This record gives sequence, C-alpha cells and structure tokens, in this order.
Amino acid sequence: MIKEEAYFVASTEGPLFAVLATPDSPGDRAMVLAGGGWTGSSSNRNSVLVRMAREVADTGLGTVRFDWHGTGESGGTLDRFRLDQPFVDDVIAVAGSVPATTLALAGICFGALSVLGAAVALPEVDHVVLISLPFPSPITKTDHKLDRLTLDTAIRMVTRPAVLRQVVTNRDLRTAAVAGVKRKMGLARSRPLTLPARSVTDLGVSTITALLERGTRVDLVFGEQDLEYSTYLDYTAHTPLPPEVAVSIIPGDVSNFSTLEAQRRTIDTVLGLVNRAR
Amino acid sequence: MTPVVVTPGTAVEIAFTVTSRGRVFVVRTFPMGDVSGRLVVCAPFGAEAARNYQREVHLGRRLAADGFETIRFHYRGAGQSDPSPDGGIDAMIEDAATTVDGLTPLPTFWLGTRLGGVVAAAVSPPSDALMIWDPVIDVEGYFREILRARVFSAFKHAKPDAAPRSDLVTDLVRLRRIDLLGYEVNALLYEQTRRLEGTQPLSAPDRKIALIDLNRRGEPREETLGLASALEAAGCRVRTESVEFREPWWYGARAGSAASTNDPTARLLDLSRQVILEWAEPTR
Repeated sequence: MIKEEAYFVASTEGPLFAVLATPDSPGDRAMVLAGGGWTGSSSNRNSVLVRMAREVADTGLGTVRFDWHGTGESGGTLDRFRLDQPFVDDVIAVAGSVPATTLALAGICFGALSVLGAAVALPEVDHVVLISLPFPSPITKTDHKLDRLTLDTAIRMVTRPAVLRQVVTNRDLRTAAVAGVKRKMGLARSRPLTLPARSVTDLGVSTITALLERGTRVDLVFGEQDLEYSTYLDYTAHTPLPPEVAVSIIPGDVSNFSTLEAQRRTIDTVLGLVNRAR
Repeated sequence: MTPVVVTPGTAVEIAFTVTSRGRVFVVRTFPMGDVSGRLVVCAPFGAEAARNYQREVHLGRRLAADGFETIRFHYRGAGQSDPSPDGGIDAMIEDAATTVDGLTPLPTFWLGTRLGGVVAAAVSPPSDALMIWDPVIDVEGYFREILRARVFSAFKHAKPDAAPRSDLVTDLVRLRRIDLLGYEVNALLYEQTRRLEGTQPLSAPDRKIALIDLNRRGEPREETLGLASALEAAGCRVRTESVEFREPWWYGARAGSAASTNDPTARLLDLSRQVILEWAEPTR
C-alpha cells in the first residue's frame, strides 16, 4: 500500500504542484516523473502518469509527479510548450524536494528533453528513462504520417468526398496529396514537402555521453510507429549513440498515449527498466 | 496540506478525500480574506476534462479575487483520483456529493461542463444556482458525437478497417467498453446517463440557471433554447448565452495558461464570472 501526499515546490516560475507517492518501506532512492507537453498536467492522458507513478511506487521506489509551471494546479504562466525550450528548472526544483539521496528521472517527449537537461546538473541522478525523446531531424509530422500509409489507404483517404472538396479548393493540400501518392508509387525523386522541421534542442549525444561517463544509466523508449522513433533513427544514422545506451522499442504508436494498450505497454516497459536498474 | 499562495491574494488547498470506494482528489481555491460564496465545479468527461482544465483553474482564481472559494475535484477514474468502481456516471455523481458533503454553509453556485452538467444537475440542491457550459441535452447525440472520434482516429492512424461498421452507440452497448483515443468509455456510462435523461430535478421556482453553448456558430442551439423554454415554463430564471468556439473537444489539448482578451476562453470566463457576480449580488 502506498501513501500519497500533495504539496507545492517553490520555483522561479511559481509554485509547482507535486504528488509524492511513498511505498511502505521507502528506500534512499526515488523517481521523478515528468509528463509531456501534450496536456501539461501530472496526470497526462487517461491518468497514465498517475498509474505509472503508483505502480512504480508499488515496487518499492518512491515517485514524484508534478504539473509544469503555468499548467494544472501549478502557478506561473505559459503560452505553449516548445521543444527548443525545455523546462529544466522545473525538474531541478522538483528533484530538490524529494526525500532521497539518489534519483531516477523519467520523462515523456517534452518531459524527456527537460529531464535530460536536468540530469546533467544533478549528480545524484543515477538513471534516466527517456520516453519518446525528440531528436533534431528534418522529418516532419506530415512526412511521418505519409510514410506510414499504404498506397490503397492513401487513395481511400484522399478520395473521400469531404477530402476531395478540400483538395480541389486548397492548393497546399493538393500538392501534398499528389506528392504523397507519388512517393508511395515510387515516382517522386526527392522529398516533395517543404514544411519546416520542428525546432528541437539538441541535447542528444553529448549530454547522453556525459551522463554515461559519470555512471548514470540511460534508457531510451520509443513506440515503433512514433514520429520520435523516426527522428531518432534519422539522427543516429549520422550521429551514433554510445553502445551503452539501452533502447526499448514498444510495438505500435505510443506517442500521446492515444490507446489504452499503448498506455499499458509503456507502464510495463518503465516497470521493467526500473527493476533492471536496481 | 497547508494552503499555498499560487497567485497574489489567492490560496490553494489540496486533499485526497477518502471514500469507502477510493480517494477523490479535491482542490479548494480561496481568497486570503473573507469568503462570500462558493462555486462547485463538475468537470466534463475524458479528453474533454483535459481540454477544459485550465479554464476551470482560471475561473477559480479569478473568482477568488471576487471573494469566492471554488471547489474542484477529479472523478474517480480521472486525473489524480483513484480508479472508478465501474466507469458509470452514478459514481461521478457520488464523487460530487462526497466532495461537498460537510462543507460550511455558504451561498453556493454550480458549474458543470458537458457531461459534468448532468452531474451538477443531479447533485445540486434546487435552491442553488446552476451554470452549464455546453449542456448535454440529447444523451444519445452526445455519445454519438464523442464516439465519432473513433472513426477519425482510425483514419488518422491509417487503419480505416478499425472504424466501427455499425451505429456508434450500438457498438458501445454491444462491446461494453470502447477505447476512445486512450480513454475508456463504458456502456454503463451511457446507460446510466440515459436513465437520468429528462428526470433531473433541474426546475424549481425561481431557480437561477445559465446555459452557455460553445459552438462554431456562436449562437444557442435549438435544443438549448427548447430546454430554456421548458425551464422557464416551470418557473426558473434562465439565461441562455453562447460563445463561439472552434476547438474540438476530443482532439488536441490545451496546456497554455495565457488567455488574450480576444480568446474565446477569455470571453467565456468573463461571461461566467459576470453571471456568477450578478447571481451573488443579492446575497452579498
């Protein structure tokens, strides 16, 4: 049976709301869980982060989850989450409130970037779990979606009456649809789409290497159909990660936790990594 | 938990309220000075709750500056609360009742959004004023609307074969539970809500009710106007409003907290605050 306590952590951006989940026999290690920028809250879609925090605590490792500044119950203001401006200070502030001598940090997407930045500044961190860590890459969301479409599905999708109406009246859509079908048929010579790539802070290889050198375990977790996995493959094709980095691939699409199955698989994967790091 | 000042002049107190069947997460936002009234917020369901969350937080913080405390809570099965015992709306109604049980007497106003409006209507005493954002009037229509996201999701994930073949609501009743973009929709939720349809004790002589539609047209729906007429005929004092909203309830998320004055959220919050202050005027 775990105990949960809600509290606020002082930070430069305002008080951050956090929940500490403590197991029956707390040790001197704990895990800080950082959600994605999708909802900004410490519960995330369908309370997936709350369930993860409780299940990890059930195994004997205390957890802290928190709301980013400007979201949920936390104070401060926020316009939007940007992958080139991770909230490293939020993670550092919350980590400072945890009653433990060594810490594991886990983060999802935007949270993974923030956790990675914080881990470097926190010598007490001995394990980081980075779920759907975004890497800088020219691959866009649209590219990624088109790559996952089969030709017949692409044709079925673009020939729906509502879509056809829009394709006829919107030049950008017309270009994208034609380019997508061409690529699927192998007729396109080069990448036809010129949408801007996401701006992502490049904390990748140098930061991960620094953490490994000081003995911190680094785990990467991706859904095999996630955009973040595509950008990881693209990035590491020319900048390989050190071989000590463990990469776990979850079948399907886990980004945004948009299915109950993806939520379950991600929680199980994190539980496995936590147990292995003990 | 010791109250914490989150914005100047406004404190927040958070607790897990223990019930016989799990804990309910409750947040109380209140002014540092005297408290003259209370708003109880019943959140919508599923992805809609995430979409609406910051609006509810900000309304609470703004009302604190006007001398009101705001009580918000997470239904079991959502947010920080424990899992739902069965995924039905009866448990959500029980959570609302548990949350307000034992509170000190104060002039109380209720806010429910979407399915949360059904919860607020079921729990609030007829003497309390009630505001509903985007009221659910046709229960079957509401479920059909939210389940339609499954069809879009099937195409989005390039799995058109996963789209339901039969009527969406029939499918839910047959399968008993459906994974709707990562949220479980339980057939019990539909069946229990259907049972409540048309039986809720909304109307009472002189009861103050505000129905605020949120839609693309920025005009009240026919069915909202119909409900307003029926309530007025029963002696309620009904105000019908609308705010133009283009955000879908089930797609995307709203994380940001800054609302410009032209933002629909800012207009909704201004309107809601104004209605509550007008309602509260005779009691202050």
